[in-house]
Amino acid sequence: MDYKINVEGQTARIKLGGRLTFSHHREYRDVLNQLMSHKAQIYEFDLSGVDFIDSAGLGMLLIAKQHAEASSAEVVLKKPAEEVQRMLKVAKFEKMFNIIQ
Amino acid sequence: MGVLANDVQLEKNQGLDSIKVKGLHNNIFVNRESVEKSESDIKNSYILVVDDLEMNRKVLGKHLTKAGFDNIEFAENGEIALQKVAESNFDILLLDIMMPGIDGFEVCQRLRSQSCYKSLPILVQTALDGDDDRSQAFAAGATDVISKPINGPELIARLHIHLENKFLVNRLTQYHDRLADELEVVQQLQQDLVPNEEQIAAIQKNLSLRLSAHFQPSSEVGGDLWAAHELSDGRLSVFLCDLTGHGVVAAVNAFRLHVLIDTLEEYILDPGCFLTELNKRLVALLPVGTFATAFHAIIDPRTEKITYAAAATHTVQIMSAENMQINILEGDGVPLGILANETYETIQIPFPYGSSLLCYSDALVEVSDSQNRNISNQTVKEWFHEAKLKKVDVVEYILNALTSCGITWLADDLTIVSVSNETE
Repeated sequence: MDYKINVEGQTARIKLGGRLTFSHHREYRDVLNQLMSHKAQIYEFDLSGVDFIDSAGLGMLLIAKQHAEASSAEVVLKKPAEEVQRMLKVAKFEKMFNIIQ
Repeated sequence: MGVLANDVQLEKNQGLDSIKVKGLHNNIFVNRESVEKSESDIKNSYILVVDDLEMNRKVLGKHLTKAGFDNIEFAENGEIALQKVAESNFDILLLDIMMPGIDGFEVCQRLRSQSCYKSLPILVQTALDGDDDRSQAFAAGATDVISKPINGPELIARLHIHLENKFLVNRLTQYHDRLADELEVVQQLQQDLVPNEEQIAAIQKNLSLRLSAHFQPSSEVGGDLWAAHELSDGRLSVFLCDLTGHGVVAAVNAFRLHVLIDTLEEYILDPGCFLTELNKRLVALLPVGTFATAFHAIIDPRTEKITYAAAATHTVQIMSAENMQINILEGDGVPLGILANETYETIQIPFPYGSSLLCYSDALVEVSDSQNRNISNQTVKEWFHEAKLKKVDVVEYILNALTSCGITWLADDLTIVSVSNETE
């Protein structure tokens, strides 16, 4: 898993890359803390570089959502690559997230 | 902080829970309680001092006694040293190199050739001070080398460090062994949660269905769970569930889930209702980020129908009896344990005599073979088809296919269940 954080006004963007799986759980928590330290209104997760996500990876997105909502902010999922998009569809994540192509 | 020797120090910070131990071969942080326990062990250490000169033995003994060590044995040559080591259980050896007969190098080599002495700390004292001699001592198996003439505080500091290591490693090994034993018990308990071969055989005997399954947690224990229950009128209930993650946390959640399932018996005939109720309970139970994908089906060989509900399952396939065509079942749905008010729909599909159902946890399609090709639902589909053509058990066929692809280890728990509407 690799990442890049970029903050612009009220939007904090994180571009994730590689695999988002159970084995990245700890690392992700640190990254999430780093991201959430920027008090933004929108946290944008760019998933275009994520080539694989498992159920633990989906769980990580839910954790981000919970953190954001605690400060009345929103998590937006952007440009999921094909495989990730398929996983998001199977788990009906569009019910919980704003997913932008 | 107490500096004990040039490169050996024991650092204590009263305000912290950990203590830093620095030494020649280590720089480790350990739990305060472990260190304190080690210190009491160190005072009672059984030490063997090996030196051919009586004067040296006396001087060494004096340094040790002065430092609080009083459990000391002496040997005046290599032969007696080896004999004493074989007879008693020493914690550390203080060994001279230059001795007539069996010298210190040979004592080291002979001890290290026996597995029971591989980790016995051997502190070699030598008047030889060339780099080659010291290297030779390490090559022979010395844990550490101290130069003669002996500097008392340095000797004690090095002795202390190696004893400290020994007791900490012992304790860690014991801790590791205890955890491994406990995990083995939990693994057995988890295996007991899912139907065993006898129960599967009994179901097959009573119902006009063929059932076969494989269950394998990834890291000893895991978050997969499956169940099969005989219902009235020859029907079978099959339930498959995959909790986020694996290992102990996922296993604990699998146990909780198992208990929950038993309380939902009244909903079992309606899969959609069953998942809806199970979801409500899991939302209250699971922490955010943890959820379960699930598939529940009632298979009725008499009416030749399957009634099912799914929560984020894309790993269920049905093979038609008529043309052997395989379809992946539509299983989109919010995983269980996320949205409290989510409802799950009950769907009914035909399952005529000769049809087969194959369901598996996503571990099966999250692996790559030895040529780095991903195993996909399509791959599983092909294996399913091949197994049916060859008229062999599909679960067994898939397991063999995985082995043939060079896949012997999976990162996640694996469950595969197959039900065929046919009799033997």
